[in-house]
Amino acid sequence: MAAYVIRRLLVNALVFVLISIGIFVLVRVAPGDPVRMMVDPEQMRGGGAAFIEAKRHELGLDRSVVVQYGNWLSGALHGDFGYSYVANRPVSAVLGERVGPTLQLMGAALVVALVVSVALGVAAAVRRNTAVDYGATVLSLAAVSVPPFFLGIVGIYLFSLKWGVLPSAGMTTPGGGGPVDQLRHLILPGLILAFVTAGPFTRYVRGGLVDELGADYVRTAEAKGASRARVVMRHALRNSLIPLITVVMYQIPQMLAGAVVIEQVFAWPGMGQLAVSSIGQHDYPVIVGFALYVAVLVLLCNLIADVLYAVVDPRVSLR
Amino acid sequence: MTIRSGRTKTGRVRRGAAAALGGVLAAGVLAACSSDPTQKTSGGDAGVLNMYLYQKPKTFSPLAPNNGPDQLVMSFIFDSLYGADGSYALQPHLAAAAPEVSGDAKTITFKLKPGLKWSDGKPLTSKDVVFTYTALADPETGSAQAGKFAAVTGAQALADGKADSLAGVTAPDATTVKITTTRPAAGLPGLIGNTPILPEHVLGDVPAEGLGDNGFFTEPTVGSGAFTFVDYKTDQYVELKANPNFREPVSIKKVYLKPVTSDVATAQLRTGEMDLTQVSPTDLPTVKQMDGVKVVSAKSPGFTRIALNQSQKRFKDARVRQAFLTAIDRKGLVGKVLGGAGTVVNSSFYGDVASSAANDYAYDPAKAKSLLAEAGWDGSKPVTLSWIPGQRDRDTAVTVIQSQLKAAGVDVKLKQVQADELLSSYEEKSYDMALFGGGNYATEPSTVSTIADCDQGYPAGGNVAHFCDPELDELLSKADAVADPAERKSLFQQAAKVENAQVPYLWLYNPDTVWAYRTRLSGFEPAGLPTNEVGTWNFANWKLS
Repeated sequence: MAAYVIRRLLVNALVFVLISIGIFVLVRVAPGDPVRMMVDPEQMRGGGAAFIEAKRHELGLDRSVVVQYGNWLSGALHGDFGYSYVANRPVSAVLGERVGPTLQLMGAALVVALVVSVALGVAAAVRRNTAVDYGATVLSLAAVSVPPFFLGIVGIYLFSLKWGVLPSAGMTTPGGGGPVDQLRHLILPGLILAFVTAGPFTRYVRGGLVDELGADYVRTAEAKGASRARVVMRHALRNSLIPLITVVMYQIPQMLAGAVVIEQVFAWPGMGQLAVSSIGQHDYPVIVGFALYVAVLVLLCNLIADVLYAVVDPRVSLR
Repeated sequence: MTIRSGRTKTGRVRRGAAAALGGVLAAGVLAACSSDPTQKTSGGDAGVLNMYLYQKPKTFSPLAPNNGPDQLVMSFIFDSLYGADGSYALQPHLAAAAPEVSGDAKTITFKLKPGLKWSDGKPLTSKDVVFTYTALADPETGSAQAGKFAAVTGAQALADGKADSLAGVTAPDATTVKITTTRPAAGLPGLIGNTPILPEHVLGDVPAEGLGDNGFFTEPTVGSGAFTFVDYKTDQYVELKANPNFREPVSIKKVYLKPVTSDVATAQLRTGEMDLTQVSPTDLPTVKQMDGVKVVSAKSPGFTRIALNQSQKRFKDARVRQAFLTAIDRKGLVGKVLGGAGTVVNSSFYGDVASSAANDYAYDPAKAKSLLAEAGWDGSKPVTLSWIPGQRDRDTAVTVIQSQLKAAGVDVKLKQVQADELLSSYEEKSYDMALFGGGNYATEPSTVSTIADCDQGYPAGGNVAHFCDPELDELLSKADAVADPAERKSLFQQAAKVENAQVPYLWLYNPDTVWAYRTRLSGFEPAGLPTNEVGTWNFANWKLS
């Protein structure tokens, strides 16, 4: 398996370089000059044009895209992903300080989503075509179709404004606040992201379990006298969860998209907010850095999904 | 991946799944517990002010291109020689009195208040001012402000790298700054007087090249403002504490400036998580109904306007521009898009100076039509109106203007553009009409030249309309050569009269800057332009109960 992982990592590295070229070129051919946008026309008097020219030169924007890419790649291989035009700091630092908050939001949401969706999915599968099943279907359909920003605004209105039980935005009360304070800030955005994510999970758990419950070994287990709970929980559910690994791993990069919106609504200082603002400001190095971060996440999650598959299912071998 | 048949080893499944879930859980819990548990909640605490920041700040550097949220933060942590008052006139801050301008307007002397101190206790002297002005005038530092110092003796040599210092700015003693210029520059104090002063004892040893990228400007922990920078928690808040060495005692202990969306700011104002915010006209009715919240407003010097691209022959005729202005019901616009919170203006000049602007271009579609007919306007060619969408007042205004101009016989097409698209169309002179806003020509009226002088066409200056009237240029340059304030004012009034007749821009309205604050804050005076001037605030009066 080690050989397989190494081979996959090498292929991923190649894909990564190709993606980086694609993103780099795309970002730069998009209309908009990041330097010209820094100076308001009102301040162009005298030195404005000279400042713009000097800044373009300093950032290397007056050179061809190929040279710019070469410089960027050689830097990137040394772990230097360039400087943010806007923040005047290394891209790795700018991205780095946002990874924590996003991970916290996504991690918490993922855990909640998994617990809820497994419970709901099992209930729906076991009581197929009953009110429970239909209820679960409606809920998960709602989770998929209601936009997260709407849930965010409704959440703020109800929990902060009307009932005053949760803070309306931010990751902490200014000045720190401690773990309890942080947890209170996490509840609303975390639950909304969890709700949105749990929708598709529930469908998969239910579908998988329904299939397994019809399998021969389930009948065998029932025939040898195992209780219904034991049949479902020990035999069928365990097998039905294997495909969920793939779904979860594919869903993690997807969750980032949901997190972008949630972070925007709740002023959560994560990657999503950064991505949105850097696109608005044409902060090329940060946009490229963010896009590559997502690319790495997708590549890694795919690899992890394949490896985990082999780990949990002995019928699968990686060569 | 291949599938091979075999027995299911449930033990391995369990371990694998448990490890995966455990890992995710651990990551979530670890991340959730990473903050310092010793700190206490501070929302609503006495002495702690939570204020809305309408965008995230980038850097806290007076050398960088002006950026609203940066400047709002800087107005708390830096002080300048002068600041603007409610009517945008210069008032001494670090300076002891008004600047002394010599008869030929070529020598300007600033006197500092005695005994000034930096937040770290070190004395603030004329040396700091000389250092700051030299850094600002030197493009090598990455300064975007060098143009303001063009008239100062030695500025050219400094820019060309032939000198290391700015010959025209000297410090004869610890509280005196003397500036000499190569040409009369009576407007210089208004141009540079409100620039934040930087600490020479902190930055003096940093080489000029790349000074603007120095780490100090992301963490300016030494300042001379009412408050001192403590920390910027990225995307969350800027934390400031009272500066015990400020020239006046300040009672507020701590300030948190929070960049959130305006919706969140309004919600937090209600919950008490926010004490002070700016309010958009659309949120005004909601905010007015809140308990324990007061709404106040101030006139802003910036105005929303439309530039007509006068490199096109059809817009060169002043009658066409007058006709366009007459065809728009600007009073109606203020009511409709600003809920009445604004004023119609008829000049780029402000206040007293603009009072001579005789023609008020009242809404009169019939007159607009006849003016266009006189000028031989060709109604068959459409005119494109470009604007950057996203501000509700402007998004509504363009549609109103479109239909009103149509009534006058002008076929207007609307075009939404991005910021840089608009700038590049200014540069290429490829737009027809553009709606935008902002600016401050109130503190120093001669700055109108930036948007109106013949030689200031974008990108050389801010004259994006490529308007040109030699008479106006002449009057403005005359005003710069006169030291006497009364005589200057009369020249500006003449200039305003000429400008009013020529209509270089279609002035639409001055939106008021509306503030809302929780009543536990007292002594707050609204600022019309919190983001452009250091020192519109009177922090010493602010009290929290």
